[in-house]
Parts: sequence; structure tokens; C-alpha cells
Amino acid sequence: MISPDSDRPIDADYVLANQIDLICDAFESSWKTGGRPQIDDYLSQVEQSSRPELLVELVRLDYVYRSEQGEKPSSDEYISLFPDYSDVLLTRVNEFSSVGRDFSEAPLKIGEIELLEKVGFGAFGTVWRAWDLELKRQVAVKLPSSKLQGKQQIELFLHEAQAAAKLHHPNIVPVYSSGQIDGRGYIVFKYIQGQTLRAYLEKQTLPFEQAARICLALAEGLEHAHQRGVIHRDLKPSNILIDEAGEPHITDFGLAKRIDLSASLANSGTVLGTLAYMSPEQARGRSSEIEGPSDIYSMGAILYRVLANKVPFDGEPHEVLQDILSKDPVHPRKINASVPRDLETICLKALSKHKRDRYQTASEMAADLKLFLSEKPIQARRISFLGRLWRRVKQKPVVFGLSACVAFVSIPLVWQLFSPPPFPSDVPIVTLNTEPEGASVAFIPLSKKNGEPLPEQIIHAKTKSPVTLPLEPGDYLVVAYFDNERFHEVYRHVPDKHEGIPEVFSHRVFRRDKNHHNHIRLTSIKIQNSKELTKDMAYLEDSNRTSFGGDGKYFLPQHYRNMPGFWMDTRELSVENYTKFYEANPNLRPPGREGPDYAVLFDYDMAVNLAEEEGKRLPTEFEWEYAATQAGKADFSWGNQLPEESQLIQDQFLPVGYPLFDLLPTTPPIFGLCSNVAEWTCTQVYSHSNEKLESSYETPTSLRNHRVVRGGSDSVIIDGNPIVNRKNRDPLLRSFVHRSQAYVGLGARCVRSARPRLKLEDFVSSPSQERNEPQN
Amino acid sequence: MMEEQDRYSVTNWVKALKEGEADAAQKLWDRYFGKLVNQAEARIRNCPQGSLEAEDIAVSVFESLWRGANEGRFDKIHNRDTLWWMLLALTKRKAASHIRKETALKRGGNTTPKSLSNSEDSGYTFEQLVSDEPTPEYLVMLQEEYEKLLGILRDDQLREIAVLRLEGYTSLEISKQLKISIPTVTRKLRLIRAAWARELE
Repeated sequence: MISPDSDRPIDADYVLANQIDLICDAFESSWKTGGRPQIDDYLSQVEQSSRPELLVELVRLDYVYRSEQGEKPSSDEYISLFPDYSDVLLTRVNEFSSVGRDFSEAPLKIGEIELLEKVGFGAFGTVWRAWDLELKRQVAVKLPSSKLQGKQQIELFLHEAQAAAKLHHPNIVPVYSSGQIDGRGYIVFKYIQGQTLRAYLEKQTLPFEQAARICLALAEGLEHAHQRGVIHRDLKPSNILIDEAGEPHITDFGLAKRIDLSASLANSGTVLGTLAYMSPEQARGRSSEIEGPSDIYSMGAILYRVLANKVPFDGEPHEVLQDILSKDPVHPRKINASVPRDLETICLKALSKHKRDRYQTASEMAADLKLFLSEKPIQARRISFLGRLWRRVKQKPVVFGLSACVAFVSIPLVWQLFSPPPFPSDVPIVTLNTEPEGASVAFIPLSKKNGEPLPEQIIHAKTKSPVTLPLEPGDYLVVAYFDNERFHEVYRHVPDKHEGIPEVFSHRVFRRDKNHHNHIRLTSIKIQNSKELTKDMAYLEDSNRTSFGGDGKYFLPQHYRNMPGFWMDTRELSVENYTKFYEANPNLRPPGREGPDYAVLFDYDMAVNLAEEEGKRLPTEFEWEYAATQAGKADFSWGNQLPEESQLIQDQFLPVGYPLFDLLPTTPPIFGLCSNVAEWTCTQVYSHSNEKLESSYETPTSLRNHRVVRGGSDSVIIDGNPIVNRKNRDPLLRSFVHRSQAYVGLGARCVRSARPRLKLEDFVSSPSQERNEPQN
Repeated sequence: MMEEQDRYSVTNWVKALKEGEADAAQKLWDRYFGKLVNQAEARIRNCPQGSLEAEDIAVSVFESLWRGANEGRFDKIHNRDTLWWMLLALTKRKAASHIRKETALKRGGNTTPKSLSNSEDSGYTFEQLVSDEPTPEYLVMLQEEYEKLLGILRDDQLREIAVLRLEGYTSLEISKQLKISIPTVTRKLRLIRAAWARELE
């Protein structure tokens, strides 16, 4: 939970880092409990843009746990599983190797071709620099990802490769051969020494003339392919190689055919790059409409990228999709006034929304580019103001139509992918039931500052149980009741949206709805009847102005409170109580001492849980002190004098209900408050200066998980020292113990409220310190 | 994104020192830490009810210091995690703002804090950080900052890792002690540094 005390704004990066951390925790926890978590399932829990970062963390964990199980995961395997993230995975390879074994591996061989080094990656797999032993030449080998491993998939892949192999043009990377080996397809290309246009553009801007030359060469290559019926479908700077002479070569022809938009969107971390160059008909997912002019649009987008030094539309993927369909790009000359007017005209014509408004063939575009380069007037006409206006009017319904397409056709996709934070920021919707049903249920928030209940902020559920209502994250005292006899008071925890794995006990556990992350189900409350429960308990009458606390050593200055009456168990919870509820659970062994009638020794959460099972609760430290000091009137539960020495010599704790001298004279008497084991109270630690009660009562952050223990010093609690003397058994003594600690001298006893506590006066009052007033 | 926080790394800082300065830095650091540890020990002796359980999250910065030093984990300056540096820088800043408030009136407000040669964000040089005498007021602030920094962490596991790190444990040791993987320790340490760095900004 992010502390509300921090006044710093919560920045998005930090929230994301926390989110990633929690998802990784869940992933690791699944491994640790014998599961086999799938990275995919976890990756989808964050937005597209955050996935690379999450993936790296998940892969690191996956690598460790798989290696622990004797597997030998390789970086290739991860890259083939997540080809779209190959760049981020590759750049982090060294980090993997620092985790365990060397992650790199010996070169593979495909027939007579030896793979030398990995030089790239694409949507389809990895690209290797390789050596053809037979023909003694350098080649590039493309290995598809394992997503294309099925037989049918491989055939499709190879079919496309064969189509591309028909192309022979100086501006298209030639395919030498293709085939399959070990159930894996591969394609061998000519090795182009150089870099991708994308890398090239990242480093420098191109002079306009050179940009025009490159586009001309690309258009000529495209014309060649289009005439042979091969459409590229995924033309973008990363698919264009610039050789050392500056000549462009198109690669990955036709391979995009099998990669539909949704798959590419769903899996791709590089989807932004892909989208930016995608034509409107592709953005609409109309695969039947994808033809030559679609590639021409992409060419226009590439030219735009060079002229304007940015892509036509950028932003979040869903915005880009919308803009591709409905918005005219900003004219490059508005971004850079030195862009030649004709080149801008060529670019914008290619970028027309409608195929009919673009160049109809790549050769038409090539012709205009040639005219531009020879400084002759181009064929494309700038659209006049009136023409633009007319086109816009004409386009309007179409635009709306297209928007509607996006809205309807891609809604599932768009929602799934772009719906922001997977955890909606709404207040959790909490459902809780009781046994039997039909009870009234009220939620009393526990203060985030000090853990005390805030009855003035009580929230009454509007219906009888089962109840469903929105509740702020935090801890609550939940009061479920039919009347003054039949009720139960328990604790429940409402998680905030970042909380991952709940703890096991009823008062901490929660279940999230699979489909609605903020729908929380809490453990049902069993309501029992007071008459049954309290027949062996002692009733402590209410009283006004009881003295609590004392001098500095108690960290609680002397003060007064009003105490409502309540029931208290006459003895501590025993091993027998414990086994009655937990024997069915082999993981919870009774941590008792000698036998079933000795106090059960356990941590705070177990104590709270067992008290709930008993139909009772743990006392507050004031209720405990109230009993153990005879309502502030005695030094010990039995009176002021220590008993004779002979009674005090014991070398171990006694069974619950002993020793007999430690008797609070109630009906029936209460035993063992200031002698046997020390006892948990439900009060969160807060300390005060020596003299004054601090008005804020704030728990120091480092003590938020500590609770007050009464009835024994540290020596009693930690060493199990059973000694009874003033120093170790002063009932005002407060020890602070972490909730998850169990000690040999620490147990608990239960209380039950006289009636369901719903109003301020049902609780122990806030302290008053009116020293001048006469005492009652 | 988060890797950027490594600019707060003591190790990097030490690397950046000129030849010969590293020894001097080590000495300064040792002397300063020695004093802190002595103070810590005195405090712990005087604390009647502190139960030093090894599994507990250290409630005070003095416990962390005492444990780390007692078990010899603070020998080298490089072992001192960035987290220490951040804690000290924040305390120093707090102390300085107290002093500034007091002196500003007298001097007419001419007390711009000296900026750093290597432009670290906290505005303190290494020497400035470790040359102070740890006065009682300073120790109180150190404890306050310690509590505050632990308090802003999301959960107890993060707090536990932060404390173990402050006590000089390595990631490997922390991973064994808490039964989590090393990548998780690394990830969470990064998160802790990011959280604390936000306080330094």
C-alpha cells in the first residue's frame, strides 16, 4: 500500500513499477507453490507499452525457476515465444547470463549453412548472419518463432517465402532458398551489409533529394513485386535495408500476409512502429481490400517520416488507429518549411485515406519522384482549397462510417488491448455473507493511523446479508447481528487495487472476481448466540473514569477512560481449543507445550482467527488491563500483595485455569491474567511521551505490524520464564510484538462484547487527562 | 527507466573519485560509520525493552547499524548500499533545513546550500555527508528519516529487504534468508531505491 502520509505526487512510473513488482510476486509465488505459471497470462495484466519491462522481469524469474528444476532455458526460446519483444530480450541477454549459466549458445548448422551470429529480429523470428559452406558466401538466415511451428503454419510460411523467391529486383532482398529442419522453417536470404532504414533514421536526417532517391528505388522494387501479384503488407523502415552504397533493399515480402492485425496488435511491443505505416484499410482489418495501393500508403508514410522527421500519426495505439482512419496528417511543410512543395504533394497523395485518391501503381509514384528529381513539374496536383473543402464534406459520412467501424468491429480488440490500467481505479465492491443469512451488517473502519476502530464512521449495509457495497480499501471491524444476543464482531480486510496475494486467515483473506478486479469477496461470518457462548465466561461490569497507564516506563501516561461492560474467558485459549478448529488442517500443528489443557502459543493472526472461530474476539489492551487491575483498583488481578514465595516457585507454565492464587474475583473467577503466559491484545502499538497523551496517537510506521502484549515481560514472552514478581508481571507493562511472531510464553484469551458494538459509547472511551478534576 | 536511479550509487560515486581520493573517502566513511555504530550501541544498551530478535524487522536504524557492524558486514565502502547514502543525504538535508531556518534570520537569508561538483541531486558532497559529528539531534533525525523511508514502502517485505540491505547483506544472502529469487531481490531493491529517490528529488 502506498502510504497516504507521503505528500509526494504518485508518478506513473512509480505506480507501474509497483504494479510490475506485484505481478512478478504473483508469478514467483505460483512457481514456489508448485505451479507452472505461463508468462503470457501475466504479461497481459499491464498495458501494451509496459509489457517489455514486465516481460524482462518475468523472464528473469522464469529462467531461475526453470533452471532450478533442471531445465535449460535459452534466450532463443524466449525470443521465439515473444518475437515482438526480441529487441528488449536481446539487449538483456547479458543480464540473464549473470543469473545463471551462460545464455549464449554454440552456432547451429542448417544443412551446409553455419549460423554465425544473431544480427536481428523481426516479427517472425530471428535473423542470423551465416556462412554457406557449399557456395562459400555470406548469407542471412531467418528462423521463424515457435509460434509458426505447427505443420500448417510452416507450410504457409514456406509458401510465402516461395512467392517472395520469384522476385528478382535490385531493390528487393533476394531469397536464396527455404525449407525446414527439425520441425522449424527457415529462409536463406542474400546477406546485405548495412543497416535498416529505421536505424539509419534514428541517427540522422536524410537530405530531401536522397529521400526521394530512396523512395524512387523502393517504388521501383514495389512495382516489380506488385506486377507479380506479391503485396508486401508490412512496409516500414525496419523492413528496409540500406546497404553500404546507400541503396535500399526491401525485405520480408509477403510474410505479413499471415499476420493479421489483431495478432500483431495482441502480441507486439513494436506495434506502434507497425501501426504508424499501416494503411486505413489495414487498420480497419479489411484484409480483402489490401492491395498494391496499401503498400503505396506505407511508402507515403515512410516519405512523411523522412520529410517531417516524425510519423504521420503518433500517440497511444488506439489514437493512432483512429487518426489513420479519420484525420489528415499535418502537412510536412508546416513542420519544416524547407520541405520541397512537390515532394510534400507526392507524400500526401500517397497518404490519401482512399485508395482511389492515391497513386494507382507504384510506377506512377516512381514517375513523379523522377520528375521531382529532375526538377520538372510533377503529375500529382495539389488539392485546391475548394477541392479540399469538397473532399472533406464528401468524406464526412465516410469518416463517421469508419469511426463506427472502429467502434464496432474492433471494440473487443481495442478494449482488450487499450483499456487502461487493468485494475480499475474504482473503489472496491465488497460482498460478504453471514451464516445464517439475513443479518444486519455494519463496517467500522480501523484508523489507518493507529488501528483503532472509528465508530463515528460506521457504514451500515443497506440490505440484510448477503451484502454488497463499495468500501474503501483498509481494515474493518465488521459487526454482523440479528439482535443483542445473536451477533459477531470480526475483522475483515479490503485490499487496495495493488494488493496481490492475500493472507490465509479470515480477517486478512479476500477473493477477487476473475472478471472484475475490484470485486472482492470476503469470508462469511458465523453468527452464534451469546447465551451459549458466555455461559462459562465472566462478566465485567462497566465503569466510568477508570485509571489506565502510569509512569514513563509503560509508554502510556496515566489517564482515564470509560469502560463498557464485557465478557471475558476465565482462562487462556488452550491447545484443545486450537485442535478443535484446526486438526483438519495438517499445516497448522498445535504449537502447545505439554498437553491439550495448556495454553496454545501462537502468533497474532492465528489468535485473532481462533477467537473468531470461538465466536469471540481478542480484548483491547484496555479491556485486558481493566480486568487485570480490578478496574484500576489493584496492583494485580488478585489484589495488591504478592502471594507467599512457595506459591510463586514454578519452573514452567501451568495448564490454563491455573495458578489458583491468580484469581480475579468475578463469577466465575478469571485465572492466570498476571501469572501464566503473556497474552495478545488487539491494540496496535502507539506510544506516548512520558507525561502527555499525544493527541495524534499515531503508530510509528516501523511498528504498524506490532501489537500490544500484556501479562508478562519480555523475559516471560521470549524466554518462557514463568516467574511471578512485580518486575515481570506488572499488568501495566506493555510489550510490543510483531504480529507474525510466536513465542514460548505468549498466548491469548478471548472476550465478547455485552452487545454488538455499533455506537461510540459501546467502545472504550477516548482518554481524558483532567488532572485537576476530583477523581470518582 | 528505473535503472536511472543508479546515479545515486555510492559505488559509482566512489569510482568517480580521482586516483588517490578513494582511500581518503574510505577513511572518512569508516570514521563516520564508526561513530554512528558507537552511538547505536550506546542507544541499544540504554533501551530497556528492545528485544533484538534476529527475524524481526529492525525497529530502529541503530539496530540495523549495530547488527551490521557486529557481524562485520560493513567493512568496505563498496558494501555500503546506495540506500545508506540516500538515508544520510535525506537526514543531512533535514538537519540543514533546520539550521538554515535558524540562521537565515540572523544572516538575512544568505544561505544557499552549496551545490555539488558532481551535481548529485541531493546537493551534498561525499565529504559533507560523512564529516559531520553525529550529534543527538542528528541521530533523532536519522531515526525519523529511517522510519519515514520504511513507511513509504508498500509492504513489509520491501521493508525487510531495505533493512537487510542497510545491515549490509548481499542480494544472494537476502534471497536465501527470505526464500525469494535473486531477480526478485534485485527488482525490489530497485523499487526501494526509486521510492527513496523520490524523496530526494
